[in-house]
Amino acid sequence: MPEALSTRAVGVRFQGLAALDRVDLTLPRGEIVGLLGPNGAGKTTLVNVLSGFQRPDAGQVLLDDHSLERAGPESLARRGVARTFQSVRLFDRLTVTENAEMGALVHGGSRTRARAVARQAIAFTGLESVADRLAGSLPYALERRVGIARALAQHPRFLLLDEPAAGMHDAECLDLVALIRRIPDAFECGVLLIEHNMSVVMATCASLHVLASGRTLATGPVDHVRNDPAVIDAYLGAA
Amino acid sequence: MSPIQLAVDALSLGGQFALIALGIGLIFGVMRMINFAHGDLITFGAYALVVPSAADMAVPFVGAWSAWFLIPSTLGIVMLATLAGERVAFRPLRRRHADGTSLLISSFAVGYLIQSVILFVHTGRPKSVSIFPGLTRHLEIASVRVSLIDVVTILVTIALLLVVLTFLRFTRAGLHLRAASEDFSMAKLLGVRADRVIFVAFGISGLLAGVVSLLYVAKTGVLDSRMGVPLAIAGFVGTVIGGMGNLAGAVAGGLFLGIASTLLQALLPEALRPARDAFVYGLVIVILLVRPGGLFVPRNAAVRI
Repeated sequence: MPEALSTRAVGVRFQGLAALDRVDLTLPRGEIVGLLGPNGAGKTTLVNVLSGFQRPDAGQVLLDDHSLERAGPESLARRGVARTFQSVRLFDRLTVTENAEMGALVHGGSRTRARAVARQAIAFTGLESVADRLAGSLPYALERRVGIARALAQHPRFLLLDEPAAGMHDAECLDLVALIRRIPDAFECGVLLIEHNMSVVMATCASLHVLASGRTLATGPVDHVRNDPAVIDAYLGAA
Repeated sequence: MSPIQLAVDALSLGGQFALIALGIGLIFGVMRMINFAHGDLITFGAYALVVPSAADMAVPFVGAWSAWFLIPSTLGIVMLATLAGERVAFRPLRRRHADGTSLLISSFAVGYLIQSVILFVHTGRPKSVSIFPGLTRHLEIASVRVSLIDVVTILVTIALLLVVLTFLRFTRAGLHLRAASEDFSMAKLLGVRADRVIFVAFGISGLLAGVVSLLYVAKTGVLDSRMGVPLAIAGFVGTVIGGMGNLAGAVAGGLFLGIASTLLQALLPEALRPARDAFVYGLVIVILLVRPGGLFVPRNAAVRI
């Protein structure tokens, strides 16, 4: 069995409404999977379930076949599931390096070790020139990159990126695509990419998982999914 | 008054307020609670210098020991009292997810408890005690007389701020504390332990309160059960004008308040001097009207959601 982070028939209800309904998603280590769907389809809820922020009402979350019953976000972070946030949530008054150090410190260890790990993550994400700036002083696109650097400093086995390209213009998106594509090999990790920007998704992902109204509409290799009539009808056609 | 004298007075008072504001700001950062007991912990440290008694004449207790014992004992006593307050009055509320208002009320209760116990044991009459008598001398610098205790206060403040800032900047616990001050839940997600980071914040806050106890008594030589109250208010105002939750801002805010007080005291017309604090706090209101987030908050911080 390959290493993977996955859900089995996961359901989440908010006040009686199904936000997620019997969703099976598999994120294999070393691959990039795109998570698509119209607004309100349940994408962020699914990422919250995968990262322990949201306990599912039904079904299971599995980390390499181990059920993550009652595991909270801190526990999942220690076990190698890192995520970024739509709202980024950097520590604005820490420097870029210190933000990445906070990621490295999730596994304990000394400040010296954390700094070395942080430097690698910063070099990988191309943030050397702003390494000593306060995170809160950076333009938006760079902030999102720092969020990725902090998550990578956790040395995750699975990385969940929640709309990393939001608010970026085309050139920044291209840089981001190049960055994300290098992650699986460099960090031996699986990447789940939630993204509205179709060109970013098509340029990075080998397979897609499409949600609509909390249910899986289609899943599989990109070419297969993009030609699925249900997907074209519900999402791609409208885009 | 010569400019040098004025500068020494201003920096001495400002330094003291900066230490208090930092002590309050550290706890506000991790707890989102204003610890109004901070001033009474300063009072507590000051009273630890004398033998508990209702007699008019204060008999030195810790205050009679040599500086090598007096200083660490006083600092230790105030730190222990601060940590005990956290354990008894704040941690149980935190465990039950009490909101900031309940914690604030609890801090008032701790403060009044300390005041009442002191009132009960020592009576309400102010007492006098002399520690470090050598410090009450005056120095002659370029034919200007400045009091030694003010110079020492400035030096101690600078040294202590450097120590605390070095700790915050270069240690793992310091980084955790700063991160938790900004976004506690994000810090917890990244492995920061809530109890430990709060313990560290209260410990440093207690250390700072203890230092202020010593500096204050060394300068004034007077003990009073309510002596800490105006100090806590000054420190609190310092943290507010520095921007709540911003530690460097708290230091700057406290410094600013002390300097403004001293300058107004010296520069206001004689007849208006008794109303100095009205001017100081009027100025604070104006600052908050113009910069509600505090003087030292980066402009872009306000618009981020």
